[in-house]
Amino acid sequence: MWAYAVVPERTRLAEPLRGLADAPVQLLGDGSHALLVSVVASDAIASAEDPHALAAHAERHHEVVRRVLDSAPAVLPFRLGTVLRDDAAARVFLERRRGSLQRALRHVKDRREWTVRVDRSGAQPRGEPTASPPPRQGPGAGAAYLAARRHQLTTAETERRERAALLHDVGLALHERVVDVAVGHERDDAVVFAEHYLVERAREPEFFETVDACGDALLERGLTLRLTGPWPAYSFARTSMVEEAHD
Amino acid sequence: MTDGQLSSRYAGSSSLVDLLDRVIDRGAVVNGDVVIALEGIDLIRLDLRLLIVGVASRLEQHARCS
Repeated sequence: MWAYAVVPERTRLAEPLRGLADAPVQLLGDGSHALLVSVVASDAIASAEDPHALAAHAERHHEVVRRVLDSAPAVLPFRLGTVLRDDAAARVFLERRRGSLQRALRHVKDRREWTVRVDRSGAQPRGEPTASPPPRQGPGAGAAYLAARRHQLTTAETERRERAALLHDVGLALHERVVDVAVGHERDDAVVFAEHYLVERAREPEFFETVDACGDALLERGLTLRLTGPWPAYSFARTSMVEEAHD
Repeated sequence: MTDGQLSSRYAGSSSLVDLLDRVIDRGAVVNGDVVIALEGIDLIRLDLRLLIVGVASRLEQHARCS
């Protein structure tokens, strides 16, 4: 039983959905919450050593979660690979985590995740020390070279600091418009800023305005802002879903 | 009485890497005796590059067939 997400009990799927291995997506509830699941044969679940199949799973998993976001006010997406043994196990799962699930769903209710990244792929950054100034010959050439070099490095350093200050301000401005922030971990060195935001749906217009203002300011410095979303709240689903003590 | 802004000028489409990263590395993580996590998924998180390569070639196959 492959699990995609937890949703409030009242959720109804707007359309029939097919998930992993084309299995139908079902709701399995306990009165408080419901699990979005598909019954899948265990040999249909790719092993982690098969990147092609795993990637297909990931896309399908995400597609299901994304579609349900349209039907449900709150969706708590699971990380890829959450599998439950059967119906009974699913109910036990829900029962033992009722409190945590309630809190976790409340946190993402009527909110969507948006990601902002800034990279250096814009206009040429100014003042980067590229080649050293060509050393000249003759008296005073050495000193002139060093002075020119120092100037280059100082300018570059100033640019760097101003860029860092601007990114800091961008972060502050965006944080004002959101209810939660998760820092992004990027593998790409060209990305100088990456954060995920949980934004109230009703407050998205103001958020977009701020994003645009930040994007404009960054462009003047040769930095490109990119917004992606809306996403189901993957980055904000990491609340610890601990089992509560049995009575 | 203007309509709320529907999107940002800087909105763009997300990459497959972004999607994979999200689904594999984020989302609620659960354990407990009723949960069987996908074995080896933690290894994949460390080796996302392998996955990306796999996906890229799969997409190319799709593109050729469709």
